[in-house]
Amino acid sequence: MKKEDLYNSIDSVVPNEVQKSRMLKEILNPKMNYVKTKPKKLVIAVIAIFCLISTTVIATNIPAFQSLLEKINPDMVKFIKPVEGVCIDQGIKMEVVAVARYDNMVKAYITLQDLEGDRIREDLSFLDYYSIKGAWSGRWSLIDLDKENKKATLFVEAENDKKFEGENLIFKVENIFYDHKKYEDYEIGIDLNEISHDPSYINATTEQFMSWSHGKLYGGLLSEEQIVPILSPHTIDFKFSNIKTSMISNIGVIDGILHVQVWRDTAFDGQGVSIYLKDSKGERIDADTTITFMLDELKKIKNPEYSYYSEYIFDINTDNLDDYKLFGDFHTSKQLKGNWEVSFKAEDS
Amino acid sequence: MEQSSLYTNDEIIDIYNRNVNTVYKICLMYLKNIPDAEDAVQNIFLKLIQGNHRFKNLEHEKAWLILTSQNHCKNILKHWWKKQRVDIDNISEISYEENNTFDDIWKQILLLPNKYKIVIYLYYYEGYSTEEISEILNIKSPTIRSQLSTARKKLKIILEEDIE
Repeated sequence: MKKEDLYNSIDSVVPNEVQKSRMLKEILNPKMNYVKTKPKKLVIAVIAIFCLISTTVIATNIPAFQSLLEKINPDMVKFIKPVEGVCIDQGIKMEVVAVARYDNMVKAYITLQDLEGDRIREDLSFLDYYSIKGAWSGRWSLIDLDKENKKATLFVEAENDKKFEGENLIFKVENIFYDHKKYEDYEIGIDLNEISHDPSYINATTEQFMSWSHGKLYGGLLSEEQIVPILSPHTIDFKFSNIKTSMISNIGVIDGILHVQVWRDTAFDGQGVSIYLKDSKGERIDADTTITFMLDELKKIKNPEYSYYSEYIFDINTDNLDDYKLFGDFHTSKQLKGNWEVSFKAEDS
Repeated sequence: MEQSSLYTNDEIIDIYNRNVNTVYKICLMYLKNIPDAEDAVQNIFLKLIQGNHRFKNLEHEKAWLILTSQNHCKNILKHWWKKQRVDIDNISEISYEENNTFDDIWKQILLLPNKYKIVIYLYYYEGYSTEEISEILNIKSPTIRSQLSTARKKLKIILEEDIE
């Protein structure tokens, strides 16, 4: 090893900007007693239908357990004991391999293996579609990925508000997200000079919206009776070549104000969209007001459980639209719905 | 932040920006995981601010932080090892993302005994002489030279390559 290699290696170890900012914030505003944030309470699981679940406590000669010992923190080894529980759905096998219990905490090692495809990757995520039934709170992290065998090892930690006494815990996953892609500073090829200054729109009130944030344009928007014009959805459908789960469902100038409406396919969760403008200097201009809403069966705007549409309303001079271009930041992923569930007892280690 | 320190917020930010990378590297070398290293970084800067330490110059400030980082991390590790058993709730796993952020040389540095890590870091990265390291760590020069020599051999053995 050369000195410069050693230097470069150490030099590369730096906190990123998010870490730096987080640490500085704590230093400038220290808590009286620093307490690690408890994980939030999780949604309780429902019924398993298509899984094979067994929670047999078994002997130590399990290949999966032996394989696990090579991957984990050696300090954990003396606490864990092997367990067996398998569930296969959509060609993905979930297996609980080992568990340790200590007072009100349980730590489990669970693997996910793709038996048919290439869906278990390092960007594996579940968003909110996982739960640990039987515990007050819990979290998981990916600690190992065997790319050759397409197998991920998860470290699952569950906490209770009192000591565990042999309860049966169930770790359940309902959606696997993978192949995450980000498209940042994506220029949306709509010529703002060509858009309508007399688009079709609907007058709506704030009680019909799922959520809305407003700036100067609707500074007085406090009353539920306040009328806000919303573009009629799907009058134009401008699609993106790479992004299949969003499109511009309408765009136009209403009463001198630029509105851009985005449709998002809620059948695919985990998709993120943000629309903005750039001026002739390349400066980013965010929307003054953003409104999310849905349509009912009569194509009327209603307050939904999930938002299908977002309307971005910009505070700019619409007499000079050739000074602006439309951009977006998009986050997409693939989604696999299924029912993966393994159970294990919170017994003494 | 309530002003219980001689430092203004702007001064704190300046000190932090000058030294955070150094303190972070040392803490991560000792504690080996990012969350604990971040906690330690915060506590070390808080010690500086709340202790109202003032320094002759920037080198003095940096040296104080290096020594304090080392001592803080050693205290943390000593506290863990003093227990009759390691409580399971103190054991964590390094995430796949964290584990794959660092190269093999860094990982081998982490495998060194703690007393050799800091001398390797100060000598090969910060560029201090053995005399300067001796002053910073308050350890005799011959001991520093001996630790450096042993650390070189260990790294060479681990990586099976020559350190020039």
